[in-house]
Amino acid sequence: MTALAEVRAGGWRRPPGLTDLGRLAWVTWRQHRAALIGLGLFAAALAVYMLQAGLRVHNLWDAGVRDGCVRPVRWTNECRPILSPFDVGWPQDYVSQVSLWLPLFPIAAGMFLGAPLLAREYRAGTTRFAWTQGTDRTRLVATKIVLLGLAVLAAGAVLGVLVQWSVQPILALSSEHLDRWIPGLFEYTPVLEAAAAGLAFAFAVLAGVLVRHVVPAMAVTAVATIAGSIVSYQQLYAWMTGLGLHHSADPALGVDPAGAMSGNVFVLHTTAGSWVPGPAGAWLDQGWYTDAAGHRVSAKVAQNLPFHSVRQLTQMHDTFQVTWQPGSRYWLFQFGQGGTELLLALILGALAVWLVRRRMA
Amino acid sequence: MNVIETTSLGRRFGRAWALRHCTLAVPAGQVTALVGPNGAGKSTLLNLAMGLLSPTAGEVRVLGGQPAGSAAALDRVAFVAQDAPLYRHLPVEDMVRLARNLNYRWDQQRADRRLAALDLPRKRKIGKLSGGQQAQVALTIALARRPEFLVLDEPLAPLDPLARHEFLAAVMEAVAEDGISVLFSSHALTELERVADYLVVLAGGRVQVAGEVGDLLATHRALTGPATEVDQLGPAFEVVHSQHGRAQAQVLARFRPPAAAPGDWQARPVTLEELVLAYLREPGASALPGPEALGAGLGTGVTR
Repeated sequence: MTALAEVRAGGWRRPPGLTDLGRLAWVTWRQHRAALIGLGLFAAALAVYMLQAGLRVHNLWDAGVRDGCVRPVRWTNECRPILSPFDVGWPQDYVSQVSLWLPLFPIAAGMFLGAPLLAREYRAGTTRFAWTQGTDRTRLVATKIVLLGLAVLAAGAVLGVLVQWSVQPILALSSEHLDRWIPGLFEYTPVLEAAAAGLAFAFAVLAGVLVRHVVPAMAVTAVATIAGSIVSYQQLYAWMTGLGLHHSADPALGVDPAGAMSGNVFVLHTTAGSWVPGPAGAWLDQGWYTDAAGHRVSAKVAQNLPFHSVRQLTQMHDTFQVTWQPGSRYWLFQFGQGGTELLLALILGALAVWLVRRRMA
Repeated sequence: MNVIETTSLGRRFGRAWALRHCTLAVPAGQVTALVGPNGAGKSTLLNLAMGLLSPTAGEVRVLGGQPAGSAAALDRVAFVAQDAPLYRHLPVEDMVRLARNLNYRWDQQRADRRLAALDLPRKRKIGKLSGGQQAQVALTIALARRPEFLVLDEPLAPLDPLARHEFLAAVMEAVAEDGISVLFSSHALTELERVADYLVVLAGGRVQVAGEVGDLLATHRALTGPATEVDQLGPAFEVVHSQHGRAQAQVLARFRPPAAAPGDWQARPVTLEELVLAYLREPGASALPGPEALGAGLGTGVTR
């Protein structure tokens, strides 16, 4: 106990034991352990699912390395059973399962942990108990939000690690234009899964303070979290297509203008790699052909060019132009996006604490 | 020292004032009863005093000048809110432990002693206890905090007569043990007389009566006399409330000792319940200490 606490105890010192933070941590755990256990079980189920899938694909990958089927990929008779699942088998399905289940964790963290945190106290009138004890209510509420928020961030980060680890061989071997930039994988990194869960939690706490009813606060949280995840990917997309794109003119790039057409450009939106030539690991944005005079070849003409026509095009003095984000910017975007979301979460959490401090019980 | 001091305190909800122009000083070392009809502003006053509401006008301080709801105040004030809100899903022992972890000041032995005396199953959830038991657990927590000032909002309302008796006995035991100040709001007029040293009557968001119970009882009389002569009682006897029969009138009046009742009138001492009821029936009447004698008892007289 500090000297100040000694004075506050006024001769009636509580029994020694935990530190002040430890005591508030115990209070937080005891009040929210049902939600924490439930959320923990949900996260654990996801983790186990990803762990077993990850072990299976890594076993396949290891077998591929052992038999010389990968680096580079070789479709021999021996390798076919190892490689073909990555193209047409369950790993593809697994990736779509991941993008189906992982967004549920932030929603669950918000609905079941964040929304009831203060809404239930207001609803049951227990604020009149909790906020008239010796621990200042600002400190109590801020500590609860920070401790539970950190737990949510940690769980989100673990889930993100498992996603990235388990899909790694699939991204390396699939020919289905799967890459780390695509929606459905980009969001499920340790950085962004944690940030999304933290943001949903903080939003839910604030919704609980404002709405003061548990179920409506949960509903608002669910809707806002889903809407927020759509907006946040769009924000990222705007950055990826708008900020500091590199531009290359390289005949070797124009192998497979398979992207969707938009105006007279190909919207590529894929990673350069073993299937698509380009700067290694880069995310290709748009592409178009120019002729010998430097004029754009109309999309209609370009689209009708035969597949794998680089040589023909080069003979025609046409050049494929492409804009792209360097692969090294992947983590810049990750942290830019994640940092924005965490900052927003901090602001919302602080707003909730401020409202508790200021508003009536 | 005053345990509560308010200066022109007011609180508005929307357009309605729940409490207005409330200036009050409740001296320390007393058991103070706060009475008034529903909607008189009792809970509003107590919630303001605990910092659970912020004033729309004026200010409220506790324990000799501490701002209501400040850390310094909350260390020394314990509050049992209306309906004794506790965490219903927690077992009794965890509820008590939670309270211990939320306070710097805590007397675990007192908590243990009281829980043992109450004979509650410690593993039972709060929500499964009777209203009386919940109130006793809330009081146990409040008393284990060793407060200097205990504030209770309608603690007796949900209790049956036996539970009321036990609850008040526990409060009075703490008063005897520590000499703490108590402020409780109540509708239970019959219990008041047994425990209250000081009385505050609120009506329509204003303070109607404030004073020591002994002084109030010594300066009020129930009079019975001819209905036609009620007007002749003054100025020695100031009528608070009168009920007229055909010939006789029952009057509750305030007087300045040692004035004697006129010859046709019979005077007898009043009970606290009669006194409170008389004032509640006449919201226009008031008995307040004068500004110079704030908190010290009798003031200027009945005003109509």
